[in-house]
Amino acid sequence: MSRRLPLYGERAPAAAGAPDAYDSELRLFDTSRGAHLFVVEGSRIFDLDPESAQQVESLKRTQGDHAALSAALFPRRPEAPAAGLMPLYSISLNVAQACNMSCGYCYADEGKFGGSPRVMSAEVARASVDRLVAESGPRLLVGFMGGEPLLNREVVHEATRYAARRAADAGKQVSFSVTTNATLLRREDVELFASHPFSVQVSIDGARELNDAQRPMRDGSGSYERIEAALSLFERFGRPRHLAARVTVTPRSGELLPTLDHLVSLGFDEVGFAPVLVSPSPEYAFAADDFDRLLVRMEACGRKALGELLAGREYPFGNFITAMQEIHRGSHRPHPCGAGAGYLSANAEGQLFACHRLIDVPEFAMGSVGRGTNDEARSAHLRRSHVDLMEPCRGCWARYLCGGGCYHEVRSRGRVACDYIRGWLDFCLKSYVELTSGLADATLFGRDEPDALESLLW
Amino acid sequence: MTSPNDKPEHEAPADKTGHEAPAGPAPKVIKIFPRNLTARADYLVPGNPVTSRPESGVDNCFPGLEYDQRNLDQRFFPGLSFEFQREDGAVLVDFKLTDAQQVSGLTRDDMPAARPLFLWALYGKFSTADAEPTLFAFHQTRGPEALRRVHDLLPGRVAIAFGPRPDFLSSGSPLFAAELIEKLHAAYEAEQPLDKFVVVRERAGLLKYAVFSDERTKYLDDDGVIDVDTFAPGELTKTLCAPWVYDFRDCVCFYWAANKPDMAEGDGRPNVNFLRERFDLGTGEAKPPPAPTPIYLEWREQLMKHGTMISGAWRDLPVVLDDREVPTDASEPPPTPPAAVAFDRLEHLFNREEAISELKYLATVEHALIVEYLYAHYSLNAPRELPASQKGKGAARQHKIFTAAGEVLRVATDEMRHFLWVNRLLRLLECDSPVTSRAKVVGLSPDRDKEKYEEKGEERPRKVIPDFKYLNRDFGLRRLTREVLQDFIRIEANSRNTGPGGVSFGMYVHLLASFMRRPLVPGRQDEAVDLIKLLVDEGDEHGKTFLRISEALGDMKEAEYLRQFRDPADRELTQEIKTLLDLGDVHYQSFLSMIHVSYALGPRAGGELISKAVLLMQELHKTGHELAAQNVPLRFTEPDQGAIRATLEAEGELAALEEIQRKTLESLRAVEGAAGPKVGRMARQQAVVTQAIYEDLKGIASRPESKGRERR
Repeated sequence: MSRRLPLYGERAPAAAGAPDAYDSELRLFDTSRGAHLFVVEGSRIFDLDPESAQQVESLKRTQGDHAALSAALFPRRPEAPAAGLMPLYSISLNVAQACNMSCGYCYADEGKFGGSPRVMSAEVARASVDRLVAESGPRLLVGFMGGEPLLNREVVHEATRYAARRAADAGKQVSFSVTTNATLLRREDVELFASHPFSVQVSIDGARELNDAQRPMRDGSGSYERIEAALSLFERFGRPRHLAARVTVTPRSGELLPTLDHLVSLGFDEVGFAPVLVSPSPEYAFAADDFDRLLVRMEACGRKALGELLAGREYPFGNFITAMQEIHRGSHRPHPCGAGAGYLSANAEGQLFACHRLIDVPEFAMGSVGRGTNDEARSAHLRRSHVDLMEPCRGCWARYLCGGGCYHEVRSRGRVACDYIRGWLDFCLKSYVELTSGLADATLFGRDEPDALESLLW
Repeated sequence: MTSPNDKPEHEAPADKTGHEAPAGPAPKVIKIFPRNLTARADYLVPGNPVTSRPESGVDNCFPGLEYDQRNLDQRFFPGLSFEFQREDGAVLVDFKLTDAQQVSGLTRDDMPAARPLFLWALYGKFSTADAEPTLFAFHQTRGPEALRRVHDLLPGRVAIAFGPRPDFLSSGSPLFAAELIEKLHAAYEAEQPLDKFVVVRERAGLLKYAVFSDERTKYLDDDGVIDVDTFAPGELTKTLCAPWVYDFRDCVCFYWAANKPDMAEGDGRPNVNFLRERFDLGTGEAKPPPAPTPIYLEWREQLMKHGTMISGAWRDLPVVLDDREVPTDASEPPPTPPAAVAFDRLEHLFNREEAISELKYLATVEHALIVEYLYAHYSLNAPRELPASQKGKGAARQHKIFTAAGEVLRVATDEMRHFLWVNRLLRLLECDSPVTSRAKVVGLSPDRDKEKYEEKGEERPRKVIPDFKYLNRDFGLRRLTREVLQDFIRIEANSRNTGPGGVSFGMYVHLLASFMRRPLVPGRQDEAVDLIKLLVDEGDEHGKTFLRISEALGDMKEAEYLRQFRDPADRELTQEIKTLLDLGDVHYQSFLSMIHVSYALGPRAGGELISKAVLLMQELHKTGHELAAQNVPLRFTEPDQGAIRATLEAEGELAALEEIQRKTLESLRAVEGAAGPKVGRMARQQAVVTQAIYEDLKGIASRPESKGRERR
């Protein structure tokens, strides 16, 4: 086990010989408001008076079976049993397994995924849409990925229009998403994104210098200027429903807060950080020390966001806001994401895989758009990756918030970021308490009104 | 905001998990608060809803915003439950005797349905000042009356007596009352259950009466929350009123105002009873509407009966709009709405020349209306500002006149804006100078107009719209008599119409269609169309405003609400008044001159100038009221714009402003010289204000970018 990081208000670890060094079911934590308990089952948060906190602690020491203890102290209402495999909700189309940039950390090997450059034909794109419409519930989402999807813009436009028609005919509601480097953006693309319900993710790593160092064009020139041009195109010809910035964080990214502030100032609706865990070039991958620094930097961003939200201002730090929402709802899920569940990804030939990072990986093959999704493969995948079966997840208090980690990353590098994830989630739990208490104080809402939080986040 | 850590500590109940007490310090009260949604979802809240907290509830039991506090009092006596909402008295409806009360021997057989037990007397303390308890007897008292006494009971010892029949004092021996009082007193003082809970029976075993004494129920537990042991969940909210079960005949509270508009407190005007009997129950013939009455009992007599209502008559009730019933049967046709204007089918559109010509005329009309409305405003017998405290019979009346005067002033100021907008439209059409003259005829038909101008040999191509009814009404300074008010309504209403009855402002409709369908102002069409739309809509609003004014003035006599004006040309008027009249004319002239200067400066600076110039209008207004208070109207002599225009052309904007400023200050000095102390003070203040405003205006005019006219 890697070492624990000194976090504020850290409670002393249980005495040696105790059943877990980590809390796996009941985790006490402190904030400026007092003592709190995170009950892993159900992701429930309680405020405790000092005596109750002590009692819980001593109970944990004396009772070996913490799961039983948790169930006894905090019983859950019986839930309806799950209905089986959930319906398909989203397919991402890898319309162009090729790219016009050469970012060093790219998992897609400049878009090629280790193969030769391929583009998806309009036929396959339409078939993917048909498959999605056939198997989805009342709502569906069509994603465009790559490489750089705009290298195959004809198919992007065609598939969008086709999907809008098909969904309308089927009486379903369709939305779209696209992840792009924005260097090839044209007016007609902007107009497409504005006239359909699109969520656009622009890959950008920071202000000009940092971005251009990490995200060069094929010829080595910088990409920042092109992104600036793209943003002004959005201003002129219409913003999409949601315009987000996706920042890839490497050990070389330096302090994150200036990057965050910079991108917020550019007017993005959301700015999210994604640390690189798997990369062909070793200098971009995180080592243990790097995770420590990363956590400190992320916390700095989180504290900034917390301050802004408490002051009643918006601050679209995606990682933080998403965490607040998930914690507020008490998200409790045994998988890290929807890959293989509601979400699948199609390669250029129309073969379906669990997600866009697992394209062409045979163990994650899940059917094809032509013949249909492979239910057995999906169910088997979900069964075998349940977090309670994973090591060391099954003993970790954060398992239902984390879900076990990205399948792609775990497969390639194992679970190396657990301390960082726990550190970040611990910070988020504390921030959640500070945020809701602070909002309650500031807005005179009583404790019965957590809606203050809802209105402030998105 | 408190956290569980702030509460004082006290004895803890047993640990609710059933675990053995752990080693370590004895646990105090466990206070665990669920913070996020899943934590809350698993936390079952026992008892009455959180909204039924007395300290946070509005103490209101009719619709009961949070809970019905009368339901607390039902259980004022431990073990017993009373029903108070009865005409015949407060009745014991249920009981669950405490252990101590069992000795009384009270059983359910003692209160058969045919012979309920009534609350007879209440003996307890009602005020903290009471040294001794007070006795209230409920002999033939209505239940709600008894509730009032019960409600005022303080916590502490209370003794009650209850028995069959509500009229307990009229039967039995005269000494019965004395016996009862003695028993109550004895029970109140007693300590033993046998003496506290006494049932006296007849020889046959029937209950004669009972006297119980106990501590009044504690409604709240130690934490200040409704005691869950006393009140079952839902008990406090069971009698809440909801809009969809509201009885719109018999619910007597006025809370849901929308359901009873005729009962809502209004301006004292009695309304037609919308829930009246509409048919004679004997003959089946329709009944004419009864005279409106402000007397509640009479109004209730007019109501249709419950049976009629329930058996379906409510479905036939007409819809009430704007205080008028919209009839549902065929014999009375619904009022015809004004004809909608089909803009794309209107014929006889204007071309550019014709539009300019028409707008030039309409500018003069707006000008004329400003003056007419202002005159009407000053003719109303109301001061410029109402004094702070108003008492006495006349106060309501004066308030009405003042409100009406305010509305007229508002319409006049709107017309000032319209006047500016029409000139702005002329500028969009690239006219060189604004139009500030005043129409002599409102709604002049172009034929007549043509005749006049043909006499003078001028070409004036105002377009004739066939079938359009032109008002052809002369301009005049008139007090706001009823006739004049009707006239104003006629002018402004039907602004949207083009059909019969449409008046001069229906002309804007043709202009609007012209601007919408023809490229009269390429590149600025949106601006022009928006302006004209506003002109049409506001005209419509003005019509409604005058209607409201007419209703507000109601049946007041003209002598009451109008001033009796003296002739401003009268030589016998004082010098003070004469100088004030001159000042009024100077103000009037400066207003018009300002428009010329603003026009010359171009849109940006011009706009700024006009908004400052509006401040000068306040001075005109003060002058107008000063005169009106002395029953003299402003002259509103139409100024000759020639001189100002000449100065403007020859010497520029700055010089023009200086000229107007000089004239104004000169006039003010004349007033000061001739006036008494009060008016003199007003004149001096005006001079200071005027000076400051003109400095600002000259500042705007002398900015380098303001020089010269803007040319597109």
